[in-house]
Amino acid sequence: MIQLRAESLTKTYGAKAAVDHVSFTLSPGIYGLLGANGSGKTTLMRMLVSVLRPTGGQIFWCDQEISTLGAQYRDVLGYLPQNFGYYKEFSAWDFLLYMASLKGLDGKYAKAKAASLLELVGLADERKAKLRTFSGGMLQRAGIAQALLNDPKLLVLDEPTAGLDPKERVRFRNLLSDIAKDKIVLLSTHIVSDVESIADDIFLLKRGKLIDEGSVESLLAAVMGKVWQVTCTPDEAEGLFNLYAVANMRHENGHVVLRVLSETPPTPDAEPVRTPTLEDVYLWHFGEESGETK
Amino acid sequence: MSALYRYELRKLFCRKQAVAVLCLLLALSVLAAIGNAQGALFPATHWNGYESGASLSETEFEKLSEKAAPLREQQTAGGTFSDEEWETLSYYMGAQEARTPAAAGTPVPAAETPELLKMAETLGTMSVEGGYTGSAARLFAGIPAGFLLPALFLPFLLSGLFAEDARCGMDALQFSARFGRGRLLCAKLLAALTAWLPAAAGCGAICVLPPVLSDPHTDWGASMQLLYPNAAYALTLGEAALWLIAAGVLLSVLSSLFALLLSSLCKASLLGAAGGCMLALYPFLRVLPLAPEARRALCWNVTSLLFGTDDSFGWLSFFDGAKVFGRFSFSVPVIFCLAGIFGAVLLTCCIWRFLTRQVKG
Repeated sequence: MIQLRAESLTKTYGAKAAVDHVSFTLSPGIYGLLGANGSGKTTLMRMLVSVLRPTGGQIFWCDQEISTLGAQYRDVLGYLPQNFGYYKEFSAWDFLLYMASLKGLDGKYAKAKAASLLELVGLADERKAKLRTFSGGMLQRAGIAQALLNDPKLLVLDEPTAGLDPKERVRFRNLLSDIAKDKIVLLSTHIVSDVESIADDIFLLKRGKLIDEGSVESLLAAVMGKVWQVTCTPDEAEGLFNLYAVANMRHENGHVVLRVLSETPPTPDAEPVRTPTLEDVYLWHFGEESGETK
Repeated sequence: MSALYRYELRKLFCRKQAVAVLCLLLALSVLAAIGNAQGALFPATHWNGYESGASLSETEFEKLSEKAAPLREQQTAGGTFSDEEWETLSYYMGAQEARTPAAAGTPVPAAETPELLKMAETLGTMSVEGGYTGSAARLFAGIPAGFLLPALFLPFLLSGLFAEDARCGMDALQFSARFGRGRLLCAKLLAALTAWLPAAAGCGAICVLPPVLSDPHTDWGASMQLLYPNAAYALTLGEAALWLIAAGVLLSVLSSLFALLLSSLCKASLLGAAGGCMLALYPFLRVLPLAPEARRALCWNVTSLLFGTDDSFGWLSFFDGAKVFGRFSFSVPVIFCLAGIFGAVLLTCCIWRFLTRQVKG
């Protein structure tokens, strides 16, 4: 069975550690990498796809260090970078065939695969259109198609849903569930709902460190009893905003209803929320970095 | 590999900058060719006296030359020229392409006069015997121009080769693909060569062929000292032309490689192109506000660099009464070796940079 293992992976830029002794083991399945902007997700992914050398630690693919595998490792890789570039004068078709030649695919196979992938991502009708005419969502879909060209065993997707509208995001999630059967899919995002419904396991990365990992259920269990609903006046709400991470706020009959994250009840009449969401988990861990206070 | 090569070539020529550069290159080459061949295409029929405003036809000039012959004989024994005599003589010597200080009215030091005149006479004889023609002179003027153009413009064409991928964020995708390093690099360099070769050859041919074709009787086996009396090497005109072409090619390669490396380092194609242009222009710089010694080291001209025809290069010459001998201040192969080493370092840096480059997160 395929396996990707990172051991004490570290990347430093000067004195700053972008990724700090991160270790994990991945077997086939979908994994979400959650973290605020600047938490080190992209750096970690770039090391995993061998475009960035770690300062310390090692990455193993099926128990072999990836730098020793070289092209053999890149052969099983599918990668969609964040804000990936494209050649304006290329059509979607050209772009996929160019990527296929980079991946060393045979011409005939590449054409057949490109056609089927364009169909899969809903770009078959626009295959001859220049990429510069594409919307952000269409470009992202072209990017997803190129990542799948070589039928990768390891699919690394950095913020794949950025720029997609809700309908496209749902479509993307379904597509990912479809193709992920015997693959390792690592998906980074700070959009919680993207991973909530499809990820088998979620990694939480904060300031370069892996602070928690587990299934959605186990992560939810960790915040159970820490999510509260508080009904208060607007003035009281302002005070609570300054003291706690607030996941939600709505106005109701002249009062303010808040969803507050706290170890202890934030007010005497706060009611515990029985069904926390992954968004609560995210805010619990990253509230400060998202501009919230805890 | 062939697919990658095709795509790299396409990427290279898809850029508007590349198309503009190629059009400009072609236009300037044609202009340079016309400028270079205009002596053959539109020969002048009169000799013009700049100070007097007088004009001489060829026939009148021939008569004047005959008049100058006894003057020359007379002055070989020593003495100075009168203004009128010097003017007559300088017309004659100018016609023979002899290199002499030629300000009318300037007294020639008595000690040097016989030597100068004898030298001019010898050159005149050699010119007739050696089959010297103006087409060779035009060729030697045209070759540097022919290779300066590609050296100036190809950096603009090629500088996007690495920089554009990094600028638009394709590099992460490329480096994570199976053939994203070694083979992609080969494809890129091959595409660069494909673009460079016809452009350099085309420009070179446009500037070199007209003077060659305009006078099929040019004796390419004649000594190049006929053209450059102080040339430091015993080369024929044909050999010298080949060396000059080699230098032009080398310059063009160096400027392109430098542009590739600089653009890759800075991830800015325009900056790389500008660097390549500066490198290409450097050998053609003639006037710098520097002491003569510094100018010899810093500022040179392709032709004088190779053959020591220019005093900015510190050639030494001496005349034994029958022939002119020249010695270059340093050996020509040194220049080629230095340029070759510089080129090899640039190429190695380009390759090393591409193969080891990381895409930061």
